[in-house]
This record gives sequence, structure tokens and C-alpha cells, in this order.
Amino acid sequence: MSKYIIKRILVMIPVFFGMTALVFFLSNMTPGSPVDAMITPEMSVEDVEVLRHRMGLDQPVYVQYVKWLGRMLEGNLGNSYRTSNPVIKDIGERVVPTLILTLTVLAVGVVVGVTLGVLAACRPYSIWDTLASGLSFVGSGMPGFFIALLLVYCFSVKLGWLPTGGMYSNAGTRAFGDLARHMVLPTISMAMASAGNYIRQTRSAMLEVMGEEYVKMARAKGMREPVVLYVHALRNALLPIVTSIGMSVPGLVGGAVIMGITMYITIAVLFTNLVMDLLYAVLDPRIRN
Amino acid sequence: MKKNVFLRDAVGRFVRHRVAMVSLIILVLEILSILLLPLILDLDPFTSYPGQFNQAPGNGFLFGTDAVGRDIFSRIIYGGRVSLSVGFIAASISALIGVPLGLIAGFYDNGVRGVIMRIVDIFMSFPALVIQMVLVTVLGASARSLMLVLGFLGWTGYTRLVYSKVLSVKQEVYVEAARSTGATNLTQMVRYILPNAMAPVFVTFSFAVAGNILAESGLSFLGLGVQLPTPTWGNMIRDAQTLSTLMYRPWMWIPAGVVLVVTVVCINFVGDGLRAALDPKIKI
Repeated sequence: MSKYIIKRILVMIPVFFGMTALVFFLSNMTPGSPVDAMITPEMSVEDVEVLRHRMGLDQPVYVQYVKWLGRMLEGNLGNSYRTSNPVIKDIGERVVPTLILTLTVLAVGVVVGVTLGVLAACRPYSIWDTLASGLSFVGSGMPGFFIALLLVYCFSVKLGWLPTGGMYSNAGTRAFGDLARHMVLPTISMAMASAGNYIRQTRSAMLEVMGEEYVKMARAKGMREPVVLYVHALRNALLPIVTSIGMSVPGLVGGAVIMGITMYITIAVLFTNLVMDLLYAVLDPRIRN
Repeated sequence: MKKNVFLRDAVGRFVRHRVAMVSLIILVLEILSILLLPLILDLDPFTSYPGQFNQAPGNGFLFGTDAVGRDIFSRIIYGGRVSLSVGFIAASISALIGVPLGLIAGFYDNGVRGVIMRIVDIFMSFPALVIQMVLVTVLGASARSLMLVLGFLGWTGYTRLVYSKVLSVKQEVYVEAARSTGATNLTQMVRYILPNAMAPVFVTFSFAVAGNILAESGLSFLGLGVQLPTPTWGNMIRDAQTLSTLMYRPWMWIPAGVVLVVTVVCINFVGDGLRAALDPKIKI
């Protein structure tokens, strides 16, 4: 087991450097540098050069990359070119709301998706299966941004039940009920797609597992159907589901916050990959070797 | 002969998948109207009609006009041309990269496989949205760069699929027979293995088209995709980011969104039908 963990961690290292380097060089290729945005008519060519030098932009790209990486590892992301605040502070303010929303969406998506997926798989080709499968296709085909607008239009603009945006009704009070009301629409519009995927994955994984010998064995021993379903079948069907949950975590985190934190997204991706791999090993003893 | 029997059975299975059949009919009608309506009707997605800003549906404008007085129906039809071609061309680019790589990785049992599959791992661990946004900005936001970016980022699924399929197909007796009669590696791969590993590629292709259309409209909605005045469904929905349009002028953004949703859901259903048709193990 420990050998397995070490192997996984070693594989992460080249992926980490590859990803950060790629994103760094790409963002360097984007037309226009931060200095261009700061130039004012009264600045001389020398002033611009001084500014470029002070920001380290006159050095070769790979030197900038190494320095950036070094600072990053110390937790110093530099200052935002736009707001001049330390980037880490700008990110920090946004991380907590992002995480609250992300984790709620993930939880709702997984619970709804896995439940409906199991329901669909216990009676294949029944009306429940048709409904759940249909829902999964519609859900995963929905563009979240359009559904969000549609929900705001129906429930906030037309019916006036829920707020159109924001996190709290006024900045001073931080009541949980108020937060929950603000989270309903974003959660629905984001969880729809993920629930759709989990329905499909759970269903096919369950169907596959239900044909296995050990499920027949469990039935033959006279176990009750719920025990067969949830203890014997679902545990084994969880493997591919864990994969897709793991793959969606960095996407959910990263989808909301964009540049500068690429490295943290990278770490998030790698970390979830690791956790997923370890979970596989826990769920499926065959992988350990 | 055998191939024809398989094809006939597959078509039969597809037709019996009712939802997929209905979706296919809707899609065909949609593609036909996107291609042919501009030839029959006098549609103009670019002209601003003076004094006709923010017109509600009716009065000669089937779906009304937008904030600068352009006909929304025409924009939806022309937007469909852009959205669908981005979807199809990007999915084709991905397939052209991914399928050969999967074939090679599956066939050669050596370092080549390791390198290809590690590259796949690296590409799959990229945060897709971030890379898409950066690349589109570098290349300049346009339909062409969207096709390239989505195409060059989306090939890993094909590679993994073809790779795993090739692993089992290359053990088949007919491949061994070909090898024993002196078929070169290339002949074995292209003539004997590839045709038998292609079925799931069509399924992935259809899901990829739907995914690319969603990605295109998402990026266009954010203002990073196809730029105005060229219409796409995504940048038409973008109008609803203006609060007054969202609240008082639903005709400007709801039709484009509905067409987008219907298209993507139908393509996904067709993909599901294809899977059922091409994989006889799944009963309908």
C-alpha cells in the first residue's frame, strides 16, 4: 500500500510542472502586457522600461516562470496587476463562498444522482428507469448559464420568490436562512448537470455489477433485496462513481475562480487524483498490487 | 456480407430506440432549416432596421428584434450554422488526433504506448475551462480558434476508447491470421483492427459534438467565443446579462436558449441510440 502511494505521488511531479509551465507560458503569450495598461501619456520610454524592470517583465520567460513558481510555493502570489491587492487576499475572499456553493452543489448532485441511478438500475426498463434516464440526458445536456437565467426569470423576476443574486440580503446580517435562500437557484442550475451524469454512471455501474457472481451468491444465500442492493452491489459499483466525483471536484472549484490561481487548481486536480486513486485501493483490493 | 448483416441489425436497433429516432428527426429538420431556409426566405441577421429596436415578436419579425433592431429569427438560423459547424469540426479534429494515437498506443506494446498514455493523463488533468479561456484569448476570439482549441483539447477520450478496444481486437484470430500471412503492422492496424474498433468512436463523436456546442455557447456567453456581429446561440443568450433584457424582453434570449438545449439534448439521445445500436450486448 505505501509503495502504491509513493508511486502515485511521484507520477504527480512531472504533471505538476508540465501544467504550471504550460499555463504560465500561454498567459505570457496573450497579447498586451500588464505594463501596457499602466502607461499614461506623460510617461517617457525610460519610465516604461523602469516599470517593466520593476515588474520583472524584462527577463526571459523561463526566468519569470522559475521565480513565479518559487514565490508561489512560499504562498506569495504577488500583487494583482489590476487591483494591486495581494493576489492571495483577492483569492481568499472568494474561496469561502466558492467552496460553500461548490460543496453544496456536489452534495446535492451526488445524492440525487446516485439515488435515482440506483432506483433506475433496480428495475431496468421500467417507468422509473425511463424517467431517471430521460432526466439524466436532459440534465447533462443543459447549459448551466441558460438554466440559471431561466430560473432567475421564473422564480425571481416573475414570481418574486427568491433573490436574483448576491449572497446575503444586506451585508451586515449573516443569517443562515438568508444564505440558503440565495443558494437555491445557483445550486439547482449547477447541480442539474452533475446529477444527470451521476444518474447515468450509477445506473450503468449498478447494472454491470448486478450481473456478477457475488450478487447472485448473495441472493442465493437468501439475503434481503435492500441488503443485496446497497451492501453488495452498490459498494462495488461505487468505483466508477468515485472517479467521476473526483474528476468534477477541481472543475467545480476551478470553474468559479480563474487566473493566478491556476497553480492551486493544479494542486486541487492532482490532490483529488491522488485521493481518488487511494479510494480505489480501499474499495478494490486488486488495485493495491 | 457479414458487415451488411451487422449494419442491418444496428439500424434495426436504432429505429427501435424511439427517443433516439425522434431526436434524429428533430435534428435533421433543424439542420435542413438551418441550411435551406436562408435560400428560400429573405433572412438577414446583420441589418439593423431603423426604428425597430427591441420589437416584441410579430409585425413581420417572427421572434422580434434585438437591442439594435436585428431580426432575431434570422440570427438564430445563422447562429445555428456557426454553433453546429464549431461542434462538428472540433469533434472531427479531436477524432483525427485521438483515433490514430489510440490505435498506435494499443498496437505497440512498448515505450510508445507509455508516452502516449502519459500525455493523455496530462491532458486529462488540465482544468478544461481555464486552458480554453487562455488559448482562445491567445489565438483571438473567433469561431475558427474555438474549433481549433476545442478540437486540440478534446482528443483524449477517443484515444482512451480506441486504445482499450484495440487491446482486445488485436488478440482476435483474424488479426493473427493476417499477421501470419505477412501483413505489415500498418496493414494490420488500418485494415483489420481499426474497422473493428471504430463502433464506439461514433458514439463518442456524437457526445463530443454536443459537448463542443455547449462549450462554444458557454464561451460565447462569457464574451470569449464568437464575437458580435456574428450570431451564435451563446452570444445571443449573452443579451440577458443586461438586467432589463432579462426582465422585460424574454424573446431576445429564450428562443436561442431553447434551440440550444433542444439541439444538445437531441444529439445526446442520438448518441445513446447509436450506442444501443452498435453494442448488441445492451438490450433496449
